[in-house]
Amino acid sequence: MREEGRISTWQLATLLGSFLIGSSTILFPTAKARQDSWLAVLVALVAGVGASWLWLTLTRIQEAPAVSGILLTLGPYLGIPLAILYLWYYLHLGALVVRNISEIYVTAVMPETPIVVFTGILVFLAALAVRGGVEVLGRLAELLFPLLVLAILTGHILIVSTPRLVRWEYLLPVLENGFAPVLQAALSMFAFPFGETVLFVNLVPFTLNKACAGRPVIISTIGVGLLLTVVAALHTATLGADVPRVNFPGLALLHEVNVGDFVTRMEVLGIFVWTFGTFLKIGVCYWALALGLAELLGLEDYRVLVLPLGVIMASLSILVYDTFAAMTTVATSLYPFYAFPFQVLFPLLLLLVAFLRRQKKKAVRPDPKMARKEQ
Amino acid sequence: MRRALVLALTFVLFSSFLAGCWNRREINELAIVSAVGIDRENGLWRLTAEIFRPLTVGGEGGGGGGGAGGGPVRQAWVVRGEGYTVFQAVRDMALKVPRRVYWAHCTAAIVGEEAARAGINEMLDFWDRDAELRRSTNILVCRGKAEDLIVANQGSLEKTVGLEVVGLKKTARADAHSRITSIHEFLVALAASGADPVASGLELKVMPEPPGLTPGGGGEGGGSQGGRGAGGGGEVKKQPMHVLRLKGLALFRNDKLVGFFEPKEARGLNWVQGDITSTVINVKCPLHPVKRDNNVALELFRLRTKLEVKEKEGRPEVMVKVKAELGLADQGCPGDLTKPGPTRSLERQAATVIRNEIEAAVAKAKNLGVDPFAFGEAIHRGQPKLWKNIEKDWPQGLKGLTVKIDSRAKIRRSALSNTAPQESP
Repeated sequence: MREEGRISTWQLATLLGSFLIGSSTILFPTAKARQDSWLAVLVALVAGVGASWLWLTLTRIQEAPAVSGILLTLGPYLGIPLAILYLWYYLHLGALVVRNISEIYVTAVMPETPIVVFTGILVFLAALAVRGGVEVLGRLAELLFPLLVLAILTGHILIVSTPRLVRWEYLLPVLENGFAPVLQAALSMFAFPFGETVLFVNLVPFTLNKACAGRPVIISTIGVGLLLTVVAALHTATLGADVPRVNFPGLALLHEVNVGDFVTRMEVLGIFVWTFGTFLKIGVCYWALALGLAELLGLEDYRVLVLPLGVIMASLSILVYDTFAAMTTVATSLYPFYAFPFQVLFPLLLLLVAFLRRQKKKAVRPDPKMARKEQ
Repeated sequence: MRRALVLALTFVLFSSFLAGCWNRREINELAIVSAVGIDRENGLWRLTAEIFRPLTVGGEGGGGGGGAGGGPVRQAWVVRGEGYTVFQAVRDMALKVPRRVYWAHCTAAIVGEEAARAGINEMLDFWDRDAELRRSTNILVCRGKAEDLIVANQGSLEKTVGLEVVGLKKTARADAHSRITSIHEFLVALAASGADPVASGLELKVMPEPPGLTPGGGGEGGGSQGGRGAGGGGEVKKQPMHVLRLKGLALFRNDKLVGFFEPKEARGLNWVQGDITSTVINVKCPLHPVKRDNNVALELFRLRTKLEVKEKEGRPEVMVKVKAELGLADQGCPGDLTKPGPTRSLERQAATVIRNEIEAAVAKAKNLGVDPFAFGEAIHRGQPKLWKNIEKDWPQGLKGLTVKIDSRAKIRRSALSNTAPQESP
């Protein structure tokens, strides 16, 4: 094994939770559903649980991280191209997330600082964590996840307690334009962030209690999914019909916090959540990428790859979009289709092949009892 | 040895990150804007920024110390910026202010009538887009030029117009004849297809002021002038003083000002939106209906408003249900008003006052073709299918809308006394 570390199921669950919170609350890709965006999140959550079940089953059959699992299942001719595709997806996803958080820093927090500064610092710190191995990521998540949830809850309690800010009637009428826009928005929301948990195929084999990994994963997905549902509902209840126009609804909400003219300007809560959530998400992508590449190349240790891959990821994050508008357009309309094969199609294919192979093995290999008799 | 060197170098390198931000801004290098007036002139945006005067802010009695009793001296400096776009007008100030103009603490955007009538979309967009400005900024419309108001205001208790607006926003809730809205609320109403935004109306009022209390001029040289006032105590000379006053509400259709609600109509709107914490309703004393000067004041303690939308022959019908809980605040006639008979009469009168104000507001809104009540949104929520048919020509469609009003008032208590003092048995 190239990775010696092991994480507990609790660390797996918190890592998954932070991964889901990650950048998803920065850009909420549910504008199409308008006041039903919370419903779209719920639908996406149901689909997301399905996707999690899919890759959980895969890990149960393979018991190996993604790349070696793919190679084992598909053999070299089909396996290597698919593994390369997946590695590209890890790299790309990491770069997109780096760009998301850097973009919010550049547009809303420190507009005069070059974006390279944020990208560089973030990826450098992530590199340190990834060099430390999966245990470091696990412990970081264990430490940060409760704080993330606490910050989100505090922020939203403050928003709700700001007088005359939240108007729940903005959530009405439900399903005004039928279910189609909700499904469209749910598709975007499924691809980002629920489907992205497919990366955790890499983490489950390093969990101490593999057999019990399923339950914490599903519970964590549902918990964070419900949290995101509340967040989506609150966005609508505060901004009403103005939601689609606002680039960072979460930030706009925190701008408005005013409890007794004393607790104001709580943007820092959002920045905290986004910085550490995305940091863990980047860490997972980065680690999966380094480990997978080392497996593909047959390297003894993935750590030599960490810094070079970081440079590539940081540069890619800057090259990947020219403009902010490109980022939002891609995130809402293009990304779901681009990510669909990685999130659903390929895992389904792998599962099918693995299943068939197992059947074949059973059919070819005679019963051990029979074999003994023949001897 | 090498390890120690690397460690030391790391510490040195990282300490440079700790030293501060990329673009650090010290408070003494900032010109903090408190309020801004927005006018249009020949296609030019003209912004008048009221900037905190850093020498006097915080320095207790520093500038106004010479004045008698340290009267209210406005601690502000006013600077103008002009440009064909709002942003250019903002940047234009950089040529006039020796410090970085800092907008994050701007609490009031006061739009001149002319600019408001021409449309303020660009200004709203800039406010929401720029990272330094905030959606929580209050938006007000003044009759006449905003610049004149910002320049001429002499302040009362607060140091700047911005701070006064923040205070008025709270105090106005005890009266309900106006209401200060934020740009956030404005934008939300603007984005909704069945609602039109409102902004508070603001005007400058000239008040006579006793000598000695008059602040010196616009703030400049406040010390010397104030000192003179204190020296010549015998001299009785009334100097006019310019102070701010909220008056009614400005009504917008899209981003354009189309008219004003007078204070009574503004309260009518507030009844419908149920957004009143307290207010005063004047009614006639039922015991002496013909006598003059026999007013009774009722204080509002609780208000519950419900909008019900029904369908009638394919058209929506809005029912406004207002329930007000009142208390007896003062009475100008002798007699016991707490008895069931007079109480019921007072309640009926109060309900009528509420109904009349709502009706007046609705009539004016229908006349102007705007929907500040968000009746459209109520229909949107209550009868989504019906709304689809009428959404296209909404604010005009308000004209044909039946608005029924069901107002009820209940007097619960009479505070500390039960009858007026002059009554003798």
